[in-house]
Amino acid sequence: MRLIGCLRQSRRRTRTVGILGACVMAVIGLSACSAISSTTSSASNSGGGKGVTTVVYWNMWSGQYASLIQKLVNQFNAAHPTIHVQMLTVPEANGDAKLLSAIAAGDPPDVFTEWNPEIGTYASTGAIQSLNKYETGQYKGLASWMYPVAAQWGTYNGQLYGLPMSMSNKELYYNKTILKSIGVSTPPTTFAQLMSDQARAWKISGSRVQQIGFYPPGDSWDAFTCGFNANSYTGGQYSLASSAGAKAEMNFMAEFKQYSYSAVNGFTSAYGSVSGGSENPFDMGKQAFDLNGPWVGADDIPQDDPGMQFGVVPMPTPPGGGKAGCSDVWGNYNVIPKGAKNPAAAWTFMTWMAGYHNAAWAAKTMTLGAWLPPSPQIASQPAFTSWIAANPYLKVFSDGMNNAGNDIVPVSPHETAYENALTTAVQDVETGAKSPSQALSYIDSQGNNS
Amino acid sequence: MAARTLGTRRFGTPARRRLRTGLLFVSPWIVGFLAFTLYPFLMTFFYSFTNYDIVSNAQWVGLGNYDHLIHDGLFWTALWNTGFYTVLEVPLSTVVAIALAMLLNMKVRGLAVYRTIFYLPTVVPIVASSILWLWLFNPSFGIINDLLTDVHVAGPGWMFSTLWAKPTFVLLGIWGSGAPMVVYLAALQGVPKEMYEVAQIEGANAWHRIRYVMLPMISPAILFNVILALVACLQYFTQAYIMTQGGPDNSTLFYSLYLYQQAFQDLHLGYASAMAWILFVIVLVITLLLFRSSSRWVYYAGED
Repeated sequence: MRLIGCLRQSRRRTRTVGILGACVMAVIGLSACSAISSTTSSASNSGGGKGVTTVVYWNMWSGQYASLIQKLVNQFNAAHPTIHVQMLTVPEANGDAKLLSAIAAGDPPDVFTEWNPEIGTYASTGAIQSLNKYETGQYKGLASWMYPVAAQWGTYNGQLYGLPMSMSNKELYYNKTILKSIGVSTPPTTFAQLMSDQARAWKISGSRVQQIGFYPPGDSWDAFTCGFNANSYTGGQYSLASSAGAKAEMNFMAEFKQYSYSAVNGFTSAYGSVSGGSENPFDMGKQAFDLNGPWVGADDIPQDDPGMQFGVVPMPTPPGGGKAGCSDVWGNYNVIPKGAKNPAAAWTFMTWMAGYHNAAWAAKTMTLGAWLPPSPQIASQPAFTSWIAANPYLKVFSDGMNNAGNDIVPVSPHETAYENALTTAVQDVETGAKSPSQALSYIDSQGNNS
Repeated sequence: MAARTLGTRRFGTPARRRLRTGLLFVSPWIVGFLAFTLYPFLMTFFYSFTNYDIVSNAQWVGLGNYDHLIHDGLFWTALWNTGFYTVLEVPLSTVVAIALAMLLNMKVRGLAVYRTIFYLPTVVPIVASSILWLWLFNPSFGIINDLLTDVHVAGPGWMFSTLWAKPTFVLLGIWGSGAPMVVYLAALQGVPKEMYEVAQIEGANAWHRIRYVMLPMISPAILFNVILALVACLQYFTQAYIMTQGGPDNSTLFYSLYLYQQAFQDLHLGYASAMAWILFVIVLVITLLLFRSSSRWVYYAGED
């Protein structure tokens, strides 16, 4: 009996060890598979095997825009037999964090499309590569080919780090029906007229907002910066508190303190949810004026309120000697992260997407994405000019790109902290928590001490 | 010599073999713990003394990050917001969870349905419940303000108001009290009925039976839930990240949200590590204090 018991025990132990061994083998097997698959991938990455170089491309688009970009990538792949671009979309909410994690892990994509003002932060920390070394041979004239402001957004310390594939600016949308309802037949041409018209367009019942005249949200500071001449970043320091333009802009923000912050933002956020997350009651015919980009007219309004009668004019010049008709300009910039495996092929892809030596194709893509081109050469292509002719309101945006007063968010190592501080500061002023001068000092302290 | 003999006896060959087998079985967890918990935990201590931006080498700055934290207004704002939320949320959710458990411990018809209903919020994904609450509490379109208007009360701005944003998160937290409620329910069912009967015979009214019989008997469960709730509140992040991003006016900038912003938006990994260690010390001290105080208010059956 004892012998049988021992044998049973021994068998049980053998079985246990056997199961465990099988598990360990399975884990090793899986690791091996993973290792094999990554080896294959890296073979293909290095351009071995069939001689095709794989470019791993990440972007933060979703929905119809992700499908559009995939189409453009497919067109690139079809035109470039030796390069295969593999596209992956990462969620916008943590796209930048994912990029940094991938860089830190030594396995970043070869190209990443950045639209947040991060170029300065990333360039200063070495997270992305300077592109200057590629601007030789057929690419020598690339920097001067772009709109100056387009090159400026991607440049840090005199080096180009981001190459735009499309641009945007902001102009003043107005709802013709709402203006008519308040007895206004023409859009405003002066700042005073804008403020007077918008004040009459508000509809508030008790503590509830039913219609907005005009309301600059917390993240709209940059949109007004050039108009107020409020850009105050020199010598590596933010100095908004001592800038007359910045004071004028913050005083302008403070004028909206009269409208309940919580009521307006509750209203805006609710319309954002029903209109596909654009957080814009203007698209739904519930706001008289909106300072926004070309996609609002081209994509959002046809989707949210197709019958809306709207027009676009340049933003009237704010009081205090600001720049006339200028705009904040930014775009979708392709960068090559540190540790990218195939930077040369990535560069080929980026220049194609930018439309360099490829302007006719790029002009068509602008019309598909409701973007503005990074170069006047693309803007003069028939595909783009006929699109503008068919949609006259877009001419304001297209012409706006040539305005010498256009401005960008200062490209600095502290862009992120500065932008976060701006949003909070404008909220503080609109809620009445801070005075304009306190808010400006707060921005300076956050931007300079981050 | 004696110790060696004892050791050999205690860990004889079969015992060693069993130990080895056992360790092999738990080895995936041990490896995971060492690689993904202990190592990062210790490394954050090192990084808290450095300037580290994830992509370049860490630079030693000594106590610089801790010194900077003391002078960082947003750090104190985040600490205040988190403390405010914790002080409100932990006692309120404890009271509500115990009250619900008491109700669900009664013998009424359809008890299983009620238990399911009250537990349901716990299984709703946080993102879904956050969006739902954003709608419910919308100042212009939300049903809560509609109901308040019906009784002639002007509803506040809830998530969009600096005054009301934190209390709204507290309400959201109370709504999700299903998990502690289940623990309290289990504890309540472990209280012998005879104890209530004896107390009643001795003249104890309902409040006395709750105060002197029920609460002491479920006090181990209260200690357990309070510690869990405290740690969760001090690390509050997801709902604020989804619903307010710290606004308006930093009124919902909770500690973990600010830590996340520092680490993954501003690339101040060293600074964020220092913040993480300060939070760790705060959690540790409060938990130790709770454990120390537990000898005065927690009753374990079987102990004198």
